[in-house]
Amino acid sequence: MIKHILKIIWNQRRSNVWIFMELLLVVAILWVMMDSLYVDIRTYRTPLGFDITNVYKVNFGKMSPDIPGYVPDELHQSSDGEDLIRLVDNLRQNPQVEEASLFYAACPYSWNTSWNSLIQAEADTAQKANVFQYFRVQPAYYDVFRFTDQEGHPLRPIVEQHTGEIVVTADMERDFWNGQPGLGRQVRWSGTSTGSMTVAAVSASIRRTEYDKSVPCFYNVWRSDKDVIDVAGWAQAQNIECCIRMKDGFRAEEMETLLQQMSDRLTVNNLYVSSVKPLQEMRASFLKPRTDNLTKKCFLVGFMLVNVFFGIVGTFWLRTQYRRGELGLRAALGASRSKLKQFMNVEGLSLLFFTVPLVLIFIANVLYFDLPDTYRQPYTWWRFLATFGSALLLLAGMIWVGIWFPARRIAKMDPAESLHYE
Amino acid sequence: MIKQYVKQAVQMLKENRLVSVISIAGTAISIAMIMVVVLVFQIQFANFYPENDRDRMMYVDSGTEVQSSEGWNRGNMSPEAVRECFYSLKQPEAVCGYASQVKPLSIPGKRMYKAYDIKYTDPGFWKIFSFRFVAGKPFTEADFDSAISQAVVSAGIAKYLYGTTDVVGKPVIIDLATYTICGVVEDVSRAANTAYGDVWVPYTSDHILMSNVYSEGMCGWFAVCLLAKDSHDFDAIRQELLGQIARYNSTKKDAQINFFENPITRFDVAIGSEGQSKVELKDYLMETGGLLLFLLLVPALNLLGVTQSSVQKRRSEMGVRKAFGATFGVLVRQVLYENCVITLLGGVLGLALSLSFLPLCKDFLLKDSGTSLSGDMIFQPAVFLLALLFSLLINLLSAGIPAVQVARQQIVTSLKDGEENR
Repeated sequence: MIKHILKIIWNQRRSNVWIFMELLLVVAILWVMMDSLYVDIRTYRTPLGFDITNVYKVNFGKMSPDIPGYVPDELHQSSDGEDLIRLVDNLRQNPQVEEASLFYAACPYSWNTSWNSLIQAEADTAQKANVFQYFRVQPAYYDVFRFTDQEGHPLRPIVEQHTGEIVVTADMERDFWNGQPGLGRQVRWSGTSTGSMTVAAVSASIRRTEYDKSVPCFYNVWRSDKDVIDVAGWAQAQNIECCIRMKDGFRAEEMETLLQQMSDRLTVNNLYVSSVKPLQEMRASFLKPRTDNLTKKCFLVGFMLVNVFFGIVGTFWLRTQYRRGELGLRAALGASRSKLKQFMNVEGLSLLFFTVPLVLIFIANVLYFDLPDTYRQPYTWWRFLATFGSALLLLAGMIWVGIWFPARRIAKMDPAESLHYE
Repeated sequence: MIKQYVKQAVQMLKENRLVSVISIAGTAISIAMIMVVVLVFQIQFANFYPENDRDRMMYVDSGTEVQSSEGWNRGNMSPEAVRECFYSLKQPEAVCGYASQVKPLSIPGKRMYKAYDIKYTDPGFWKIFSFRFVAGKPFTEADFDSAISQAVVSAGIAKYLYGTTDVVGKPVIIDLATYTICGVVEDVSRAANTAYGDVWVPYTSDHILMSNVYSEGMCGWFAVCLLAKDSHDFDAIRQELLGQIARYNSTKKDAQINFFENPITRFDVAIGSEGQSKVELKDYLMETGGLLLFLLLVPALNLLGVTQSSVQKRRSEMGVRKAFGATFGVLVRQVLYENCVITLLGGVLGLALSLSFLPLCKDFLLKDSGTSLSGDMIFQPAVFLLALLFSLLINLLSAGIPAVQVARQQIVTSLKDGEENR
């Protein structure tokens, strides 16, 4: 049968060549799309390392002298840093608030980041100092964002049980000590700095956003209020970041009322809570360009599928019209209707499978030049099968659906009438 | 003659309904996708309220670099740099410096915590953008010079604060600073991204913004928008600016300011240029052109198969016409004209589809979510011309080859319905 169909396809080459070229183009582009969707979706679905549901970012402000209510320096003893700590305590005491934490350059979904080099203190050989992203956080940060260690235990108790001012992620531990445990080890800021710091805990790997791969990074933990006050000294208290986690069941719409109710507690001397924003909102706007890109790709895939559907329906519909005679003859000679349908299906699918060798050449070239994203997801046989297979399957499905229309027409055909056309 | 072709084409449409529907729908989807790309570009490029003179505007946004012996700082400029380099330019019709901040808005007695977009700007802003005032008027040169806390608010914000747009003279509290509302303007779409804001105030009224400068007072938070007298002046303005920069730099000890390739024009912005990275037209055309070509080619290949079949069906008719003296050109034109009916129908449908698709999908198509669309962004003559152009292109792509083929055939072969050719 196959040989026969090949012959038919060859004889129909004039009208087949266009649909073949379309399939060729579409299979190739669809594979590219599928591959990039595969990377995005696989990456998106791996655990992030933290949880932002019910978390809100609190922005602070500092009054300037011309604002009514400004407290001149001579009237208050406390520093801005101390005021900030009191302000956050006020927030934390609200029964609706589960936990509040101060941190610096550590807010998820924000562009405000810090980077610094870190080296092992024990190693005496000169090391290449790599620069890593790092976060300055209070231990409460780990509760606000529900960070865990590699086994899934909450991180904060672990940090509090051990001494030390550094927490590294699992990636960092692997990077630094080649799989040896990093807990309790000594690190330094750079080759020239004196004094070393102790690793207090190892957290699970974290990723900056859903679309990024996890990279080594570390935390500098503020153990005491003094650490916060020190940072407030050089970074200005109002620039220190704060997030609060609300109790389960709290809804975002209630936030405004809650803040208005406690508004007299939201100012401590010259420092005040300026605005509050759900982290979900920050996430949405931070991820927007990449999420949009994903949506656009899906639309393009849809566009291709619809076109293949139209192309197949059109081509095969017209073909059944010409070949009514031939098909009638077949029916008269005893071919069942399902057999006739099968003929057309095999014909359409063969067209698709003829594109495979050419597309494989294309894929080999693309892979040779390393154009697909192999940074976020490694290129494996499984990835190839999943992307190429799904591209072919989607198209095969479309072709099958497309052929269903003309095939139904054949089913209605009366062999005697069809033979008129012969 | 053309009337005859149209009649014939309509007859053929009726004869083979399914194929006609598929051809028209295929063209429509292709045109719809292409027009969405065009419309998204147009929203970036066209003149509309309140950016009615975009074709004469130039921008320096996040395009400032200050180099010193300590390294470089990239971002925006200080109010001093705005004054020294831009206010003193002779060529432009108007110049404005602006900074955007996100701050909560309240009214006396009711503190609120939801943040809005505040634009800190100058009187030049009101000359560059053609805001429609619902009530009141912009803040004046005198207000600006003496740092008087006057604010223009959008109608939406006026309603949010007071429930009415009749708010001139009433106070609005931005963070904690009290401003007096001097004007109310019609709401601005986020698509007008330079003019966009919820509240506009003179930047001299915010001490923190004014004093938050670094790198010898050259870096800060300000961007600049210029309005040229004529779009031919762009190069002259850039030349004049170079002189200003040199003069300004000579007043500094170490730091040197430059604006990369800024100011850029609206066209540069529309093709994706930003302050620190200018996109070359060539690269834009490669990327967008590639996408458009793909959106054209896939349906064209589809239609090719269909037109090929329907043209071949009429070989004998063509043979007769040729025998009676129709030339090659006449026959090709006939096929193209007939096909035109399909593509134009598809084109109109596609344009309608794209116009209804855009508002539904604007959230992922446009840069900012929640962008409101208005008629003057979308209904520009260029849109209709381009839709027509792309439809004709599809027509040419999908019917050109079959038309030439059938017109070139020997009369005898055509008359015999191409039997010898098989």
